[in-house]
Amino acid sequence: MFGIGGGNNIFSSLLSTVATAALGVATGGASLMVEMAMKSVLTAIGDQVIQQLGQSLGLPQSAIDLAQGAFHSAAGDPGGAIQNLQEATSGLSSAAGLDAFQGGQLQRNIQDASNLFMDNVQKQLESGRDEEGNAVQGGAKARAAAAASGGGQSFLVQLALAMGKAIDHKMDDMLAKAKEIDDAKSSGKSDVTTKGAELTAMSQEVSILTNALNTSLKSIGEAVSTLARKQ
Amino acid sequence: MNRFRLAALLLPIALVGGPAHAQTDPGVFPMDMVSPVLPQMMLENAIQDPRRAPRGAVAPRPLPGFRPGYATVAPGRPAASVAAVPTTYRASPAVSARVKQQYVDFIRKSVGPQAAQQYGQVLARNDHVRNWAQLVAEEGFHPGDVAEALASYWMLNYLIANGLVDAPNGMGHAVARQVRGIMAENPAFNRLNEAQRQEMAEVFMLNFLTQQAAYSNAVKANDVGLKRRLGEAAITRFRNEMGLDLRGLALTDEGFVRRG
Repeated sequence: MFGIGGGNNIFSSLLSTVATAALGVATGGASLMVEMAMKSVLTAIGDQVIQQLGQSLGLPQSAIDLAQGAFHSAAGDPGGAIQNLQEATSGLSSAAGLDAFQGGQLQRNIQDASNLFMDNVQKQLESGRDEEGNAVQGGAKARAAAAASGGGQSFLVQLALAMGKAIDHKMDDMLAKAKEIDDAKSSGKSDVTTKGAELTAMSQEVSILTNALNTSLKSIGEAVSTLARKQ
Repeated sequence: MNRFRLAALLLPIALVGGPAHAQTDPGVFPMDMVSPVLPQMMLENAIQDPRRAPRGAVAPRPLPGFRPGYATVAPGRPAASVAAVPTTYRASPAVSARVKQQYVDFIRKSVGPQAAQQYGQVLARNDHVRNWAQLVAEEGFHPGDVAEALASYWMLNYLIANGLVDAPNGMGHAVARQVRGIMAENPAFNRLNEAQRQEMAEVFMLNFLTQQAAYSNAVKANDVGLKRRLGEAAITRFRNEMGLDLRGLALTDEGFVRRG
């Protein structure tokens, strides 16, 4: 069946290569699924930030859409759909194979991280500090709003690009984290919850995912901070 | 409220992350549909326990060598509603080219740059869809239907997981029918457009070719150790991605059923 044992396969000559690829537990599978699901969560957070910030700047929805499009392109997700955070988190939970309890835990962690991130972005944009960290009159947000009145939605696009690039740069790290989850699953270590502890202990997967997302959000926040200083 | 842009209703993108995406066309399209779609499908759901089987369900005929006591296939949705959800597509060369590039990128990340170069060269010289079609023709599978692509992938992994090299012909249609029923029930799949269905199908085809080549080489060389490891990888892959125990299934002329 399927020519097994025969040689009529374009990859047959790549002996060790196909063996290595096929031995991967995740041939297009689990770790990539987790990786991309994590990326979806980050892009959902980014979309949310751009939407809220654009609205607070009084920009028209068309300008916000433009910035979100730039954001997805910079994040290596051209044409990607805007997804709400709950959907993205649910996808991540599914890709990582979490149960309902772990999924709920992850959902709360991500929502908290997202809220914190949004607050930090707002503070960065309102603090108005120059390259040396000295306070300047009028925050980046105020200056951006002033620029917006002159058609300067470019600020939001710049912010979107900075966030998108930061997310794209984090993908290798995320793949490594996703592989940790794969390894943990393969070795059976993922089943760390016991009957007695399962209601209080955060699972290994949730911990890995949360830490990875927090690290990513931190670096994205740094990109935003840099942009805010330059604005 | 969630809003969707352009080719909207698309799930977030791509088999592999990273710069490769910057080279892809905007407005198309997700490869990680394999992520949100398949786990939700949970092929597991399509395989019922015999105690829950509907009265009058057809008793499946087991594969030779398996113990009796099989579950029956889930009844699925009525034929009309299954047919209303398209699983077919008209192939676009642009989509095919993108799938190849993304797959090479995936090999680069998962195996290494030299392997990616080898894959790129092979894919540049050969038609992967035609090659897949040749290998699955005896099961009646054809390009242009994502359900048949997934059915072939599932069947191949089942063979690898169970150390089999053959199975009676003619079961492919039953598995494809089973997969169509699962896809029809899946809201995420229903949102896929034609190009997305093609991309999903061709990812399965490339994975099929990679795994078939590795397993076939191991069988030819009678490499018992490699066969075992490939089997374990297949089991882990399906357990993680689809929630299925490939060694707990039997392939019958009614499709996959749970072994008793």
